[in-house]
Amino acid sequence: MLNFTPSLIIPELYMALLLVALFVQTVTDSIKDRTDWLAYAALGGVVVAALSMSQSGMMFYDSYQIDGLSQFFKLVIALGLAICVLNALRNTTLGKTPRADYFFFMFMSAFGLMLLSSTVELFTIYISLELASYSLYILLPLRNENPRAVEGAIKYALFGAVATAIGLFGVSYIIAGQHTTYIHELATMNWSFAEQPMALIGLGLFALAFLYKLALFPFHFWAPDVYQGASNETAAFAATLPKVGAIVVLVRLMGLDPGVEVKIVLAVFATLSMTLGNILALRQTDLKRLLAYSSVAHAGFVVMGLVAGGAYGLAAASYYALVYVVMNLTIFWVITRLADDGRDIQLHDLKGMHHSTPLLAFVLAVAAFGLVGLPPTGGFTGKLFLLNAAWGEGFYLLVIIAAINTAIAIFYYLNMVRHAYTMDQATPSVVPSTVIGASVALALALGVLYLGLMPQGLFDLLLQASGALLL
Amino acid sequence: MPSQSLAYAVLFGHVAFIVVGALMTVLSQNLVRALVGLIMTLFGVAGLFFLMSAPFIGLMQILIYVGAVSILIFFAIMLTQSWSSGDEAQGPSRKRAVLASLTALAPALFLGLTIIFKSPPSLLVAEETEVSALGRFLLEPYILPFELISLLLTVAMAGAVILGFERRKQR
Repeated sequence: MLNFTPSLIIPELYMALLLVALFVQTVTDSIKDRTDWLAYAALGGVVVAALSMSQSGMMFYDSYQIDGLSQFFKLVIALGLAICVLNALRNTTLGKTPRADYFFFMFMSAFGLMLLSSTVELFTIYISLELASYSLYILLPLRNENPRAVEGAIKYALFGAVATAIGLFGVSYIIAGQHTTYIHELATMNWSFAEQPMALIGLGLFALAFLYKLALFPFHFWAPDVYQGASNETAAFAATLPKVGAIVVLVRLMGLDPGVEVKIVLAVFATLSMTLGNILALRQTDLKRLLAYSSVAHAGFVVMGLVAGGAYGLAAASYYALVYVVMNLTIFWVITRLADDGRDIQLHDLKGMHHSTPLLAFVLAVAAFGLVGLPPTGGFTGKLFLLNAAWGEGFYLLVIIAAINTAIAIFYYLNMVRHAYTMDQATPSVVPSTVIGASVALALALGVLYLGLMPQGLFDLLLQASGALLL
Repeated sequence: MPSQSLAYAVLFGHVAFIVVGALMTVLSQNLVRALVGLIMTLFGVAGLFFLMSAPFIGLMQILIYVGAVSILIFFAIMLTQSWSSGDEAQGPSRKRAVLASLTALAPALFLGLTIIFKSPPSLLVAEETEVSALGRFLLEPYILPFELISLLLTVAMAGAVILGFERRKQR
């Protein structure tokens, strides 16, 4: 049955309305650059998503599912989008590209990710992923004719096209083995390598398209170039939200409970990803490049939760997705405020921050502590859930390596804090501060701390949601 | 059985056609000649669809890939005017060529062997689907992806305008 119930998809309809308004703006010359209203509209999106948290139902011939998991991820996406819009509202690196066009593609990408969190049919998942990534491919090179931005975007787009083509090829294997593309039907099938080798290989290939978006080793090579090439504001978006979309699909795919072969391969990738990401991050001086390698390491951590599987492991991975988004948006917020002319921030630019902008220095410290995973931040709690899940399922080696990696990561994250607090610049730099800039920074820092101190309510919600997935 | 050996001859004729076209695409020094090789490959793939009793898909393959995409590539070659000079004309180093072909062969071999040895029984029974059934399929169970594709095309077109047209105009 088509079963179209508009009351279930109010967050999507709200986004569609905003997209229509933005589209009208992009084709009307006189209002092309008036985008300040988007700040309120995006915050409204968060409210709408929060209000529709408890909805549930199926739509479009059972290819679109509204459940606890999808509503949680829609809220995360709406929240991340609102912060990215606030961050990019004064973007100075757009050149002559109209602001309405820039935000149109940013909102379209977020819309694709929202669809991604609800779709439970492989082709719809594939198209939604393409919708989100095409918009991103267009967003990335918009930086004052910067050749680096174009290089990063082309690399991302070309390899991304190959990765998604492989994913689509994997769907054909799944159809050959299981004769359906609906996840709720696939959930009742056998996924062991002995009985369904083609279907399992197909599932692996399909997951590859999403592991690429997650920047898991060995599909991580685009991340440093894209992060460094794109402007700070765009990088904040590209570093956070697409990964949330990848994580929700991977959670749904791992909810199928595939054979142990897939889990072992993923565990090996997760180990290499953590280790390599952290070691390569040690010698970076460009802050965005450093964050790119750190995101490779974080991808390893998320996959650890997926490998563990079960309601607890999947909930832990989902929780870490939220924590990851908030922590990264916090540190990107600081970077964007420091780079008032849109330059790439180097480590030595952080020197003397405790004099020039004590508040931003504090927020940077909170974000860095969170990324390391020190209590009482969200990073600690998120990692605790992940390690707990992997330990409970008997992946002891994985847990030990993850713990060692956290120790390595302390060096380069706290190096940022060291630069900010113990070193001084010869000529103190002046960072312009605004009320909005300071208050959002503070709110983000409080968010990181809140996720660390009060995880139980959210985590119980996620446990229920991922438990429903496994039935 | 003579009919079976005839079937094999037709199949491997198609495969040879495709492989020759692909090699021509990769190895040719001249971009236009490479494009002709690509068209040959696409025709061969369309033929394979006919052999698998999916004539509609085969016709679409000819219409879209041979008809539209190849013409588009031809225009791109014409507008950039890179006939035989430029970076593409220089052959790759031997080490690179070996590594690249190994990289391409490894997944093909792995996936091909899986199909040969572990194929599910349904793979060998070709079943012709009517076009009307295909249409109902697209507009009933798969209506959401079908509609989303149009949105995707809008985004792609708008993006092409932003990146190619508007930015060039301002220079």
